Amino acid sequence: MLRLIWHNLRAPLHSAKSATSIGSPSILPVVQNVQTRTFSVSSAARLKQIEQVTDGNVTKIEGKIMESERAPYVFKEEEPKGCTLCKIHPYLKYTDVLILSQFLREDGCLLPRQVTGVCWGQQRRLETLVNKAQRAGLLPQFRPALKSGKPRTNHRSNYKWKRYNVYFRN
Amino acid sequence: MATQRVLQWRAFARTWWLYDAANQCPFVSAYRVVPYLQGKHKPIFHPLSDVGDHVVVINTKDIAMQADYWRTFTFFHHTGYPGGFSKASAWRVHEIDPTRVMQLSVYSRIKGNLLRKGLMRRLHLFPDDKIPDEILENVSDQIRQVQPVAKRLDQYSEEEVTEFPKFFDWPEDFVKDGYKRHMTRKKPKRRYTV
Repeated sequence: MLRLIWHNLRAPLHSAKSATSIGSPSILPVVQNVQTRTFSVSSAARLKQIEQVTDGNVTKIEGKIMESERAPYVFKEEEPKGCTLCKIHPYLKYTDVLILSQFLREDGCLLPRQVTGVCWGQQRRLETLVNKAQRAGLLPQFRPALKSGKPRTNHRSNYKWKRYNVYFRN
Repeated sequence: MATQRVLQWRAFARTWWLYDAANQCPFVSAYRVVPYLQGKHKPIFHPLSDVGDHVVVINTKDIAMQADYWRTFTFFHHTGYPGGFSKASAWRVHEIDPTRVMQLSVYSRIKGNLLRKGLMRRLHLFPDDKIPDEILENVSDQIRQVQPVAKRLDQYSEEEVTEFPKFFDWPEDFVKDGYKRHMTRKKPKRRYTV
């Protein structure tokens, strides 16, 4: 609520600057602002996990704030601008699974650039590298669930030519 | 001069080598194995003198092929009679006999002369690491592998994975399992309208 009130207080100042209205600021723009603004009480920063609990007829959906596990191990940069991969390790290989697994979701899908902060070219390169690593069976944890719902037994598919070892040049 | 006679025996004796083919390309490892069969690694080599060695290749069922080669690479054969042509892709050949791909790749690497069949007799292929003791007792040394074996992510320990330097932290207001809700959403039923 504090946040909302602060925004409401700030709104007439903005309107006064833009409109350059003469005399005392009116109440109308404040009311308009309240209608358009999204309602939020909790602080909007940090990692979240959404949990859904049902008690009879009541369902409660809660966004719990978590502490990120990787916070103490992140590279500390002097200038936090630009692509981190280009600066530190521009030429990855498909065998660098400890790095590739950082850019993945649990189901093996690559995270978007808005989250990871890599440049367009590196994102393109990561796509091919992750594909190669999956083909070689180097990322057994990061695979989508089977349609049948059964757990996976092998780190590679058992289909005809897909069950044998594969390697890539780069 | 008994010592000279013994030195002669030792120089021309056939030594036995071990080669582990697990996660190795058969075509590249043929380049490594064939000189040992021919005896070209010896200073006394001469094409007219028969100084080749034995090579024991193990784990041939675990050989690795590049990219899409298991599906696309084909082995051909012709009996010489009309209609005697046949071909099979590499995975199919490997399924029938797990030593066959390695054998054919070494065979094709050796020059097609009268020595070829004799050299192939000294190549001993085994799908597993189970070797009969008669052969294993002869082995004196091993041949170096052709390419490094990649390590899987589950072969690292948990500490190594968590404490490895990270490239980015989770951004502000990032929902970690947001994609799961998207995936579990039910598909709308299709309505057939005539």
